[in-house]
Amino acid sequence: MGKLVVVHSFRGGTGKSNITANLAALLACRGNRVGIVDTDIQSPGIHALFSLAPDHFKFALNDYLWKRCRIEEAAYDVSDILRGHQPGASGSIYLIPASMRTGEITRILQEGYDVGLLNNGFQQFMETLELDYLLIDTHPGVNEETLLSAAISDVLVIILRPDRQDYQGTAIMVELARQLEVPKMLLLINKAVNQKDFAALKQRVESIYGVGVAGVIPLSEDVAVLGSTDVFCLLHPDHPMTLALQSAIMEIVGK
Amino acid sequence: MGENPSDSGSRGFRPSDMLALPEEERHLLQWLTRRGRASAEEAAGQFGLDPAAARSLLEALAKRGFVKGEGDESHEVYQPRPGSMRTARTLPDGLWRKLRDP
Repeated sequence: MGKLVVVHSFRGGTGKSNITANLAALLACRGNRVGIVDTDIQSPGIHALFSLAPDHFKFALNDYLWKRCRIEEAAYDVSDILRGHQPGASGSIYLIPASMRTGEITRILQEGYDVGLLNNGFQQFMETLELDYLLIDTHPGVNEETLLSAAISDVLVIILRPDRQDYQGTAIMVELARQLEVPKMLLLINKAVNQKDFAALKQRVESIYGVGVAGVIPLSEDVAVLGSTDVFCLLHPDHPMTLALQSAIMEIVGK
Repeated sequence: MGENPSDSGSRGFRPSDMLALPEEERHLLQWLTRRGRASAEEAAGQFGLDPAAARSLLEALAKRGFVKGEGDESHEVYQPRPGSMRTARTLPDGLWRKLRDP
């Protein structure tokens, strides 16, 4: 059975989808079969990083939750992005996007959906596509989807920026994850400034939460310039951001 | 939980319901949710309880509608029973109609 990795942050704008896409790509570069589910139904977006155009989704996660399709029918093989940058890469990435149709977003907000179906869908997606890792991109903050994802996760990655609001929100997420008995929790600090201070920042954050920091990612103009049009680490394998994510990968796979 | 747990028997549990349970029931439901299904004997082994105590906790969860038991008493297996999730329920219907059919 594959490992279920949930990527979350208390606040929006932390780079959650970007980091999820990059972690997926790095895992796939190691030869793994990787799935991604965009459970951020209210504000989906990770499909953009894999150049999957919303007009080209026949089915999305919403359709599965409305029982219009099987979970695997909403999965798209986006592995070409790997081969495009690293021709020898042997892994695969399958993405289940959330719908980008306005009416479908509001419908699911209004009608809700069956939690059990989402839970079963994760398991079925892993089994049917024989995934080694399933990454869940979540909606920020505390909500039912996140609690469910955390409750069944093998690894919970919490992203935060060096920012007082993020620090306070992360304390809540860490407390909830402990109550939900998440087997492994990791923190990833994103958009950090002053590279000379990274070791001290990591130590400080670890001592505040009692949770390991898997990497400190520098604030990068290069990421901003890319503007979610590609997967950064595939283009810049030696960039400090990629190296920080590689260290997070070591923690996720368990060294 | 926002509702009396005894009122929620027909709807299954929402993830946030787990956090409002007494500790022993919460541990058990979380474990069952990860595992998928288990008998009272397996739960007893996991938590170091005697099987009657484990069954009684599972029955308490079943009474709330959070798990359901299947099979006869000697081979009863319990499964978690997640319910439906609905957010922003308080918006008026007219607003939802406008959003869906602009």
